[in-house]
Amino acid sequence: MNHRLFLSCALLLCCVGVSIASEPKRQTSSTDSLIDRAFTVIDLVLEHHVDPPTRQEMVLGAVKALFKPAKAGDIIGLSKRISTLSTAEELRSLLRTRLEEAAGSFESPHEMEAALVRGILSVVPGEPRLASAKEFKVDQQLANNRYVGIGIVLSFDTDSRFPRIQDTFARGTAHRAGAKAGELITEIDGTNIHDMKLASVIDMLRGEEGSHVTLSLRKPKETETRKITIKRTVVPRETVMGYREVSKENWDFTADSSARIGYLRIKEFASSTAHELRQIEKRLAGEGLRALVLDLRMGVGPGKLQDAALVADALLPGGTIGQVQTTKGLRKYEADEDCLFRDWPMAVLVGEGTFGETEWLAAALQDNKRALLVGQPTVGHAYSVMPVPTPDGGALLLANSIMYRGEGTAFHGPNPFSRRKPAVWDMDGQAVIREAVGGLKPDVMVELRRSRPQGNTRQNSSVKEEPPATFYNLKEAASAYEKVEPKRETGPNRDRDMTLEKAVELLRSRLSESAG
Amino acid sequence: MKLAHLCGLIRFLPWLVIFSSIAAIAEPYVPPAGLRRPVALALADNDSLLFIGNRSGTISIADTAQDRVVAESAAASRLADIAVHNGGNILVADDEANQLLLLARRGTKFSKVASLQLPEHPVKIRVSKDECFVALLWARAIAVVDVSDRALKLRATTPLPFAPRELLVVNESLIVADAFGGNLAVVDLARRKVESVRTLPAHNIRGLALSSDGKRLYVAHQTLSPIARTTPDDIRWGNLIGNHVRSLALNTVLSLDPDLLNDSEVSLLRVVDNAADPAALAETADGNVLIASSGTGQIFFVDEMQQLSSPGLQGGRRPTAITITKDNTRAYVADTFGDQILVIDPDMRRIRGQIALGARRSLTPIERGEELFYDARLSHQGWLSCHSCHTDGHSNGLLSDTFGDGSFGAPKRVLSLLGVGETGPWGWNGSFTTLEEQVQQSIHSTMGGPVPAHEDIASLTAYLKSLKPPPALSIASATRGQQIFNKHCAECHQPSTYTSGRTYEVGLADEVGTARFNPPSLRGLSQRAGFFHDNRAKTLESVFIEFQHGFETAPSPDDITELVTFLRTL
Repeated sequence: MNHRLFLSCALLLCCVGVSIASEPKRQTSSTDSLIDRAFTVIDLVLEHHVDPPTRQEMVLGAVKALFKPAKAGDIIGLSKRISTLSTAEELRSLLRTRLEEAAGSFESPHEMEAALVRGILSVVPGEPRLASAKEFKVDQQLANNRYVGIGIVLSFDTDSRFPRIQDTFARGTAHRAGAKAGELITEIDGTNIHDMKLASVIDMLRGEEGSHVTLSLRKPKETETRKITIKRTVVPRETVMGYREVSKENWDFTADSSARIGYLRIKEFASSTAHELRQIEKRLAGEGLRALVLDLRMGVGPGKLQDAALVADALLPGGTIGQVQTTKGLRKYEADEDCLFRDWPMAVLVGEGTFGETEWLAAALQDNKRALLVGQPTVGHAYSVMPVPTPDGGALLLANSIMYRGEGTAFHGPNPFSRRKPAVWDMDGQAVIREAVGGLKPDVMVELRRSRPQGNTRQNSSVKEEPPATFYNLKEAASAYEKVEPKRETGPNRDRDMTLEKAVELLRSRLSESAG
Repeated sequence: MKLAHLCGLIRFLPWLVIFSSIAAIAEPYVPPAGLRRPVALALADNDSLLFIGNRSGTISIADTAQDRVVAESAAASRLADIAVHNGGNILVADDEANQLLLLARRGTKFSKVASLQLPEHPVKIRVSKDECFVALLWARAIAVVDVSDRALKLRATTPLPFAPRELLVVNESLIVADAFGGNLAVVDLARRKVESVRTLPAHNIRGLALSSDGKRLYVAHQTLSPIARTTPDDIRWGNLIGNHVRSLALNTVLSLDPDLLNDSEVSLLRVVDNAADPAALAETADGNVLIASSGTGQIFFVDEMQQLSSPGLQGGRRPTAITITKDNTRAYVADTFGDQILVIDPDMRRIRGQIALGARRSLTPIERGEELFYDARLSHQGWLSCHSCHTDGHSNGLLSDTFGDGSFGAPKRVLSLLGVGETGPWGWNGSFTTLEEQVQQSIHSTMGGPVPAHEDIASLTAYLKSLKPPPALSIASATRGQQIFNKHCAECHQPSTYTSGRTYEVGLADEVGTARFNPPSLRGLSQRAGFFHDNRAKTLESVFIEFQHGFETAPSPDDITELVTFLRTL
């Protein structure tokens, strides 16, 4: 939970005070400079997106967006008209006309620019995002696990109207300096921050690595304050979690103590993730664990392909990880012979949350027969998003590459940019896996089903019988699934992680086979 | 004390008095100023430590009771290794004259008993009974030499498919490690036969040692990932370069099991402190392993639980060799660039003192550049030096994703720097017109260090320009092959440097679309393991068979054979 909060806070830092084009100087920009910036975005998309829309499509998106605020305008025939325009000048001319017509519909040039860019990006596949320089810096710090701060999560205390320390991080300097969760911050560097917006507070707390900030703290129902001075440092966050958190950032990694099976959940990919795995391997080996469940049932943020490849390399004893197509070429990633958790039976948990780089990693582990995939079919989201620097120091986050499996086969679905679940369930809740397109097919299926029509939308699980296959006979295991009738789980089983339970069961079986 | 013992003591008393007087009168030996660069140590008996100066070509004797040098003798122009033979004689390898020397010791003096001319270059000696084994670096072979009190006789030369450096005798086998890449060979000593050659995911192997129980083989080495990028973050998290001590099951090593990593454990040398270029390791009697981090000048201890001492002992500039006394009271470490021997207490894990070798003279720019070349402190947080990838100025043969070509995403083969002073422009795409620019780029961008001082760049450049190309593996006559070369290859690979100043498109685009490359020099080609910018050709033959490089139509097998024969003479 702490980490989720931290990320939320970090994301808050990214978002607060930042709009799509928030530099003050832009507020006085002329129509021409607005058009220049729009075409900068369009050109970046055309140059870097692996499957970009046409220039005309992006202009059309922009023009449509300009009409929205006025709730008026005749857009009928606009597509046809734009289709006849072939030069950049013609498109600029059209955009200029529309911008001038729409100027009165916006409260400020800033708002109009935001709508314009939003319109351009609305037609670009892969949910692109424009990050300001400030956002981009934080993004980079997070991606590299080099976030600079004092390591606290804030919330706003509505009673006192001061910011409250929601949590502190064990590796943060605030924690080490004695700041406590629940305390209110009343002053920062001598400035009273009563009723100050949280975003402004965060701005005051942030600063260059090595600089100091002095906080006045008090408990909510007390009047006495104390001052502490805290150094801003890199606050590394963990990207790999264990089975249960026994204390702050101290995980118990054992999922099954009798069978000595460990559990890791890769929460996100960062450049530190492979390092964390190396450290955890040492610990788990020291604790006598001998098999591993790797939980990959979550997606990741942009720009993580490189880090995912490093993790795949760390977990594979050789072989091809996968291939990546960019606009410039095709790259095949190979793993070296060194391998963490070498010779440990491994089960990888997959599901709807396994998409993008995690899907690619899971495919690599499956293709190299390093692990058995257990869970539900994955989405088939094979596009990787990377930040493309913009002239103002920010970045445009674009899908600039497509990931393929080791042999070059695709795993993306018909609409890879959609997070929509593949059509794997029929109206009776029966599996129709064979009709699913794209994504990964688990070696051992564990069904998740929606309880209809009783109005309960929470998911529950059912697990299939163990397939009559040996652990590494993956193809047989997968094909065996379709013959097995799923069982419904109700009542207390609703919150059980049936996928994990199945994986543990499989690993126990595998370990018994080895022992026998 | 028994009466007889007392009488014996009284009988020798006059001699003791005389010797004491001499000792009192004699001036203690003061080593003259100079540059030695100690690289190897040997314990002759309980009281004397022998070590050689690579640059001075001298053998020094240190009194371990007083931890000071008592004598120094010139033996050759350069020395690479020293070993003590059964009878107390000394073997040294001269890697400049390519000789093995047998020296007799009389007190503090050495006299040459025999010498043996060897192929290029003898870099390591290991003794077993009445024979010794010498690693011949560029000749890619092991010389097996009969050693008696009076003579040296070459008994056999065992060829290897790689350039050897580290050697370890285990029972009836000799374990041989690659000087640049990750190959590990096992030679059956009785049959003089290479039993196995397997490859570790490793390079820069420096240090082989057996565990005290004789069941494990420790290997100090580095790893380089082609997936990681040369960014501060990938460096910082240990993704780019790893500094390791690998523990291999000796049974697996000595067997023919193709999976050398079976029952292997890798521990990262670096945990929280600086470490780079592990250069030597030795195990104490109580199971602690000492590791020299030569790039950062530290000594680390790893205990039986594989727990790393941190921080390491910081006492030297470039520790490269370790030897431990039998009673486990002292470990001696050759600090090559510090021109001293460190004396370490293994129990207390502290530096007891230093054995000074004499005042260092001021360094020439080349010598200063050499020290910088091996200095990981130039890099981001001290993780790697130039030597980490350009091992001893040559190449580890691996791929690295640097920004040297202006982009990430297309890892390139690490180029040899031997002879680099004459082969501009530099970089795979020839984008650096001066070597100084390339040096600055490598330190600041690739290694992630601060922008180097102008003087450092100048010194490093001077050092690089002093490096000569490696000798060719073959000296066979290849007139026809040369004719084929002149017709198909010489336009881009122009003699005498076998490169040219332009870039060419030869149909080998990289992963980010770069298709024009500056042709790498072909000098020393026979000493390389992979070809083209990404090692896509594993052998010289495949350059022409698979890729038809330089030919419009497929060359005949005979032409390929002749051409490859010629290329191996460059």
